[in-house]
Amino acid sequence: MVQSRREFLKRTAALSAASYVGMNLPFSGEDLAMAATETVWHRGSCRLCGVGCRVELGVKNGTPVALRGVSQSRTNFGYLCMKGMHFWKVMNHAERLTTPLYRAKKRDKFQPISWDKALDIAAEKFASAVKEHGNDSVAYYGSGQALTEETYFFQKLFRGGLQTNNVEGNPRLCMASAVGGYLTSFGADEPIGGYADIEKAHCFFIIGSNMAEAHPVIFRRVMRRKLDNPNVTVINADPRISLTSRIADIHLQFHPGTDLALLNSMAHVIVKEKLYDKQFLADYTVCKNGKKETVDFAEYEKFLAEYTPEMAAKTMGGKVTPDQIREVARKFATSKGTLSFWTMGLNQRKQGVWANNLVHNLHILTGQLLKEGADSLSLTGQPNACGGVREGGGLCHILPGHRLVEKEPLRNQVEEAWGVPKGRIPPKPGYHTMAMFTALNEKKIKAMWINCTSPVQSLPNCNLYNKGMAQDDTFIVCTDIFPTLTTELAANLILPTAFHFEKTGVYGCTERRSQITRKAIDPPKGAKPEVWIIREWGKMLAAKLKDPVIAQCIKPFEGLEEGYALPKAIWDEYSQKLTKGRDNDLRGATYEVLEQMYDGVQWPAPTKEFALTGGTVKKFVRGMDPMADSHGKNDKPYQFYGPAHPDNKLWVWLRPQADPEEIPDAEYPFYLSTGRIIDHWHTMSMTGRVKELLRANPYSYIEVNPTDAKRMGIKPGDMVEITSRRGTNVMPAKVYEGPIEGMVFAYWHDQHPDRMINKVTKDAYDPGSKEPEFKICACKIKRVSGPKALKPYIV
Amino acid sequence: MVIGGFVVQCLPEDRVTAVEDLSALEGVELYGADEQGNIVAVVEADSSDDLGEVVKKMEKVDAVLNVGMTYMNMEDEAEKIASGQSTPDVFRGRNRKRGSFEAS
Repeated sequence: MVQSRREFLKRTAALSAASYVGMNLPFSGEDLAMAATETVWHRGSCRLCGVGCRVELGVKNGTPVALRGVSQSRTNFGYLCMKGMHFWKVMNHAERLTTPLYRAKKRDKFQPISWDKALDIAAEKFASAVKEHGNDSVAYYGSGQALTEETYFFQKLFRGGLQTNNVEGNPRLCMASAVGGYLTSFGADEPIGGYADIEKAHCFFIIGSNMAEAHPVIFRRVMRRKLDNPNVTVINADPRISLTSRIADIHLQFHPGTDLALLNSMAHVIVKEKLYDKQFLADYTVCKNGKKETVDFAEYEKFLAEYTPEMAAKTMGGKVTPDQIREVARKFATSKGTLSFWTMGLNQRKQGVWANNLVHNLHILTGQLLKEGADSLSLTGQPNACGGVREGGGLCHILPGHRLVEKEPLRNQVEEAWGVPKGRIPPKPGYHTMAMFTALNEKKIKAMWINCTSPVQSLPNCNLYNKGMAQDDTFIVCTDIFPTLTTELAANLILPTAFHFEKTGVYGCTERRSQITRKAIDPPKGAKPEVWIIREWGKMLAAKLKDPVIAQCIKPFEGLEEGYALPKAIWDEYSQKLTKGRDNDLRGATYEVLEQMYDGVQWPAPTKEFALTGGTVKKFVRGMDPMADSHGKNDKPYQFYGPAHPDNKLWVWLRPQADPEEIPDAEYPFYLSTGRIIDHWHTMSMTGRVKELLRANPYSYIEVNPTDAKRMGIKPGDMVEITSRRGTNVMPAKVYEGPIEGMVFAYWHDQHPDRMINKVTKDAYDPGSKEPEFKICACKIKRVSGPKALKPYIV
Repeated sequence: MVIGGFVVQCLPEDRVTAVEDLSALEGVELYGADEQGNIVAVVEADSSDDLGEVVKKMEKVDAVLNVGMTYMNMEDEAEKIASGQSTPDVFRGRNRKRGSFEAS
């Protein structure tokens, strides 16, 4: 059979699409004469959100040329979004960093230096900071995009080697409230169910999430479920009407920060109309009013009494009717399976943990948990916030394997696994993110390592913290693949790193699923994988500090080849020694097993045999979760063995409506909220360099409700100044029925100094989770001119 | 040459109309459609820019609910990316005064 290459590629494209919907075409893969000898396909995960889509990167002569989804994967079934489809274009990008750059002072120009010199400088600066100012004068600030092996190895060296718990990461800015919610409601971090519930759900409750843009492939599954089953109900609760609202049967629009009243009011209806699951409550739950006070159900009922639908509707601003609240509560409670999704709209709040608790309350009350199609599922923002940072010990208060720093026996387990002396890990948690950058402002931190993230742009109220990062009192190393605002403003030393598919490692996505991506191509000459950087830096640190314990931390990894053998050894140590017997037991998920699986393994997965089945689809359910069997306390079907609830119960919380830190007043009369847009990722250092993605949304704009726009004399495209008590932006207006009247919205990716919205946002944070309230602050807006021609800006 | 594979979704009752309207678009070739409203389409274009334009046109077809991409091959463009010819036209902060992204 003679085919042109063009015809071959077209048929390949058609087959790929047809395989996702089970459609038979009149030709098959075997018929394609031009076999895949030219393009070699490498399986891995997408790099650009928390969904965990599986992809195959097509490589020809060592160069990536194509991408396709993996249809056998239970995360995406082969589908990808446009952002995901384009992520590989940053790999061979002409602007990749390929040599270490150094400047002694932050106002100097960077000079290229050798790797030996660069690592020596980094080691010298950290060693001298420790010697002169103590162990807590150094800090690591990492990322939910780093591989688990990288986060784990960094924190090992900082805690076990440098003896500080100043280990943080940007997931503090996005997922910490979800962690707090899961721990306090269910006793264990991360969701009970997963995406598999989507196809079984009968009611979706989407609150504080624009998943159509932030998690498009999961949203597509929800949409498909709804289209295939018109009786499925979709409820969207959000102050802003977004693309997600398009498929909603009911949209509840309310003033930012009033959703705690909504959630309590739904509980009020459920209790008043006796829609709760009495037996489930009796068997598995207690009510809590503060951690130490257990109250009875009557007390909870009394607490809910004031949250009548009438009261809540009024509190929420009047756009939602009391009957809508009743209807939503009834649908939630009585559907055959209710699945909730949320993300930053609940998490990035001063009451973030409480908001999470109140969603969990509804699931606990109604028993909409642990069964098919029912779950309380927090969507993760980044590809490895769960796997690397939450599970791998990437936050200041937690050690690998969901261990609390403050618990001595747990510290001792880690010390023993690492072969370092007992007492080596300090007992006090380190600085959480906002405290860490405050300490930087106060010149308490003398050397800091920022890995794969750009806090200059991503911290709230960033003007305040950028002053600290820009000063010469703190030596800052940045590891990254492109220049960012942080490398330019804050770094003394930039170390160029390998990108995804240029190194090997594991990502753990939203649904407790760990998936491997193997090295497919070499990084650009001069760029190095982080695990190599950490090891080589560690060797020099051990020598400079004359500390054999630092040497012990890297000893198991000495001499290993960095593309595969090194990360494998790190993963082996972490999974076999540090997750053993913990609720995220990953012992079965070896590289060997992960490489066999299309879509990785869901923990707990204590054995290889079980991991090869895909792992635990539902946590806590006997017969599905091996730990529910091995850790069961009685013969009941559900066993809540999580580390945070010694009573092995689910906790229903009494959490009142509480205002955000800042609400509009006469001087700052608008709410400001921020979020993502479909084509861009975080600080745009990657997606801003891919022309197809940049062109789709070249710069930020401010969404203004048409009623407000008319009142303020703002027309579409007019330049509008947005000012808060902290900073100012100027950007074009998009007049749009999105935000509720009295609220404006901007996306946060834009790097331009006039459009960097985190200059305006507020840095108040949740007292429990320490996650900042990016989502709500007060601002004023003013038209400053008609439309202006703008050009996108990338540092 | 850039080639993309897509699953286009429409309501089952709109399938015939969607197929007709999509077939009329230049560069779009349909390989099949099923009763659930899934349509398998392949788009061929000279560049990824042009491909993006065709996708926009597909999305604008009345009966189309969603255009889902499943495959993309653009081997001719890989070389352009590496040589910097495929880099977007933007302001380069790097060469500007350092103070430009400081507090305002």
